[in-house]
Amino acid sequence: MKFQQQTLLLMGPPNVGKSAIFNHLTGMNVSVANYIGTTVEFTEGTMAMPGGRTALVDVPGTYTLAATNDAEKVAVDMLESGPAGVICVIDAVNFESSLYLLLQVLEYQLPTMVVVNRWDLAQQKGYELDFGGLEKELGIPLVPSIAVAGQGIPEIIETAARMVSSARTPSKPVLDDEERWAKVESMARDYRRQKADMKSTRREQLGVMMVKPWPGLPLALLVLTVVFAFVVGVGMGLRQYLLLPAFRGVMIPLIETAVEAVIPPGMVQRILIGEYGFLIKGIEWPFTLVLPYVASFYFVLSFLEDSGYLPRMAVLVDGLMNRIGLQGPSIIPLLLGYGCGIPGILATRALSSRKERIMVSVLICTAVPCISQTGAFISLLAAHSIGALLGVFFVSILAMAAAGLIMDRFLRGSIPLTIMEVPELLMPRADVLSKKVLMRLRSYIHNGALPMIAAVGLASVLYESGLMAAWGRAISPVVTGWLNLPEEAAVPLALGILRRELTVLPLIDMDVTTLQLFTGALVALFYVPCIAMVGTISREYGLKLGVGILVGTTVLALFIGGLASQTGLILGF
Amino acid sequence: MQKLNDLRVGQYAQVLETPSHRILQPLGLREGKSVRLHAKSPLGGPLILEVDGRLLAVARRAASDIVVNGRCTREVPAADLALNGASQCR
Repeated sequence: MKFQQQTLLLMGPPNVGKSAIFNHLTGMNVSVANYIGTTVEFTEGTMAMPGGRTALVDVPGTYTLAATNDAEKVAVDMLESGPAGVICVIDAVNFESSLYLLLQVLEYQLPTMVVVNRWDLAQQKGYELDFGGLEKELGIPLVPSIAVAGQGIPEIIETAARMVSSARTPSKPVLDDEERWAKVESMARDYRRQKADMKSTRREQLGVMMVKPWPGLPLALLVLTVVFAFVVGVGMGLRQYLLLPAFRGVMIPLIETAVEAVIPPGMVQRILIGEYGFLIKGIEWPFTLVLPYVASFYFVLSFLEDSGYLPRMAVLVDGLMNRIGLQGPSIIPLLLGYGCGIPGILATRALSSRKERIMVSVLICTAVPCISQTGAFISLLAAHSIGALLGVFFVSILAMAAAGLIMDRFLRGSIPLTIMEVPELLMPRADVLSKKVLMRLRSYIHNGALPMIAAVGLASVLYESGLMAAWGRAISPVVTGWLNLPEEAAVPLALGILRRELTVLPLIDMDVTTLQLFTGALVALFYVPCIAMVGTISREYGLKLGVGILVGTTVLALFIGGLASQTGLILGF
Repeated sequence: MQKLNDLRVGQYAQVLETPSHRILQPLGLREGKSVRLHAKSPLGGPLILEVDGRLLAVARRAASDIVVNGRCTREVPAADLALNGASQCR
């Protein structure tokens, strides 16, 4: 490939803050987090500089340019595509490995500038950096920055503009690996000093504690419990005291009055505000049943992401995950999948083998409920029985373990050895956190709530036209005979293909027993992931796997749901 | 020869030899570096190491290829390494 226009590359080791800098430079909002592999594919943006605009590419982080894995191949490919220059971000904390990458970048003899990021953190650790000396030795412009706080950004823009216009290319000798490391270590000694009497901070000690089996494992259980309680508790609170009064009390009566004033009673009016009226359910479901849990979940997830806790949890469960053929870091895409399957599937790109990518993606499709669905589960089950709610999650984890074991046997490929960096434990910044949560809420409204309203609209047309009833009669042997659900539960099964939570939500308004609710929830859990996820799977791994998932999940859902229902009846629930 | 996974939890050591690997060297596991074993993860999980103030998780099978000198009783200051060469360990 060859760049069409003047392009600058933003490069550096993983987790150094490239995406945070990218967002500041371009005004875009790519995702940032405190773990390795947040950026799994390159993003291009436009950066305004004095003297014109230029394209800027956020290259995935790499430790070296040896081109031995996908991210490194992308990076090398980009360097060879004729960029106008490189902004190489190095880490003031992990100084030596950053300098090593920088030396490799300099060997491409492109106009290059260096940004030393995270120097506030280095200072906390008692390091003093000689920026002037380093700049002189490197012979290229250097800018210190604290990207999360926006410090150093104007200087980066100014320096980049000067670099592009003068286009002076430093010439550097090509070194072999050993020479490069020797050079790096001597540069680190010369330009970074640590005060002699530095003790590790409380934050660092806590960071180590959390990754040790003791007290790390009990702490992890505590964290998970707190997360679950927070998502359910805060979500319920938001629903009860904020969203329900706002929608049921104000919005919906307003809509009803408006529709009744304009449209005469009849089919059209019923489609809009009748039993499945999409201006009623279509608004109530996404905004009062699902949104509260989306908000509480993404707050916790974003907090965990920025704290650096997730990689610690990944290390703690690595041994356990190895038993089902996965590595610890695969819990990160799985956790993202509890929010929405699509970012979860995309995040598997950071995993090290294809086998693992496919396994984690299939797990997300079958046994990981997305937050919309979880919100529906909570709304459906929590009021009847917390036990049934926990039961659904228990079955989900059991199924994941089983599916992992089965796939591990049948998919070829061995588990790569886990070798990873555990990032600093950091207190998430309130401004970064709130921006991230808002971005995710906005994305839920665009990609979740709007399709849900459309799907409910379609359903209400089918319902009022009598087509739904015909469909219900057609599959009633399965629904009433095998699953023991009321006949109208055929409706959510049809809707569930469009949106995951719609397999559950309609049950709320039906008169059913706890066992029936539990059966419905189980069917929903394993049922077809929404159509957007099937699309993502097909795009990433080919149509065959997409269709396989569509058929496989339907069969599995009906099988497990029926099994639970029949067993429940025999046991006398 | 003593290997990295022979160390006791809490012990310091000096790296003598690391096989050439995509990320072991960049993560700091290079000849002469001081390393501390913080913990061994459960169920055969990775070792938790600290090198140059950086926390690493390294699978036991990878650690068994890394040769160390475990007679260090405390961290070896970087300055001493530079003065006395890589094999010094007080």
